[in-house]
Amino acid sequence: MRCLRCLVMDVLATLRSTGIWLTACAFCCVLMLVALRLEVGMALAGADDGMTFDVAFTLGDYLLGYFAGCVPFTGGDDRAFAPPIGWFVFFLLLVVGLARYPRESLRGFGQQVLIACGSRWTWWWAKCVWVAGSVLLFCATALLVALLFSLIAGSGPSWSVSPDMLYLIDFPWQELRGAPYDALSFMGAVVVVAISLGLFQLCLSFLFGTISGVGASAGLLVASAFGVGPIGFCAFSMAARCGAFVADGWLLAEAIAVCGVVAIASMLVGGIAFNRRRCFGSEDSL
Amino acid sequence: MSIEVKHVTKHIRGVTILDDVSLSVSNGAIAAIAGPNGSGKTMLMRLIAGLITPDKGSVVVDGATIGIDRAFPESMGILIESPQFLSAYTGRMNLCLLASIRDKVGGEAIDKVLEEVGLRKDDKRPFRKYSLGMKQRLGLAAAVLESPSVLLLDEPSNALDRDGVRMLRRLILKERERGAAVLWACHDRELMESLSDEVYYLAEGHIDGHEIFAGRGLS
Repeated sequence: MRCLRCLVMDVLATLRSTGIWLTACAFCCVLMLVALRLEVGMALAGADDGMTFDVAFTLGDYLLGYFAGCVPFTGGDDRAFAPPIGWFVFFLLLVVGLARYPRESLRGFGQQVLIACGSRWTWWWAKCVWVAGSVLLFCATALLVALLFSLIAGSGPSWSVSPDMLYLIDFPWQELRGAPYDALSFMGAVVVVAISLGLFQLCLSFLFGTISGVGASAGLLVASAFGVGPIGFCAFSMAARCGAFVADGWLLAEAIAVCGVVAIASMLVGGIAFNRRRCFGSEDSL
Repeated sequence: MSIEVKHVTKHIRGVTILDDVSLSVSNGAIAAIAGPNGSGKTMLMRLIAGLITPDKGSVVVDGATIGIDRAFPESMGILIESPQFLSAYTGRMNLCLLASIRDKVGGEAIDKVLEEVGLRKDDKRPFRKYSLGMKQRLGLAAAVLESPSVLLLDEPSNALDRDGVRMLRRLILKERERGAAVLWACHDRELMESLSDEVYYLAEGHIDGHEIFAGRGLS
């Protein structure tokens, strides 16, 4: 019960900052989806004569505006590596939005809450739930923006993804598995990745500091985009590597298993680190 | 004994902050810690509160060893540094939220303690609009709200006007009469010596002297 009450405290303390963060999320999502429409429009304009495309702009299509991702970098054709912008911005904004509060709260009111909780683990679990809940709100915001786009400038709230959409946005179409393509299970993986990343960063912020935590999370995103083996678990949130779209892509069960391990390990390691941590109040550095 | 600090030593980044410090405070007594800036008073309070753990020695509060039996003292009121609350909410709302964690006291007790510290229960101003003195009063209110058995106050007279200091005096004496163990630090020597049953003098992290003031009802 104290954990729940501590969580209520966290929600109330971050109402305003969460509102600002979600507004920034919505704004970035709108930009990404406008960019998607422009990209598709340009691709259609540049298509060979006689080629016709059928892009319904469903909810599933719009979600690719954030999560299309990229294939692992091989460097074979002299292209410089660049993480997919939409995907990178989405997760970087997630990480930055979650970064400050947990540690910063210990410099102020949170210290009183910690003492009232009577237990460091109680306080810590409340923070973990706060992170997970905030991530869900963040993902819901992105989903809502995509939904609105599909209703206003598309064919409606269907999870299906148009095959032609995959072609037009330069998906690795040679590796595509056969249609139909459905974004629902893929989105489940995105949410699981986002929660794991949030908890991973929470753990790092208590081990090494808030700024180091953000830096390490950003580095992890780049490594995931690059295609660095098992540590790049954020790659499970890229449609271009997902078994729902590409042959030999990762499966949802795989994503949940790896991200589950990351999340649990982060909560335990972070909790142990916090239990040993000195609380200096306002003298604490971030 | 309500608070027992036994041969506590604490180093931080190679610097000795506290060096073999021992003190005790009984129920229904007021003990003060005096010392210059940087002598370790605040660190000692943090140690007793469970916010940091000693490298050597132990802290026992109400029979429980802090850091082993419990993370924090079971019944403790604390005011260390400038009190911080949720800036968008009123003082009363902040106390309600804090009280809701343990659910030991209700609205009536909150209103009563606000009155005791000289704040209005119907004040609609959010915390961020409080003056420094009002913030300090709210911090005191939060510290005594749940009638703790141990009260730790670090420079509680900061930012208080003359009325505020009188209020502080009444509050601390009331807590002693109720049977709490009060440990506080104060730069106002006259105030400290007039209220306290004993004073521990801290210098460069170690106890440099201990004075008991006779005839103050120390049990």
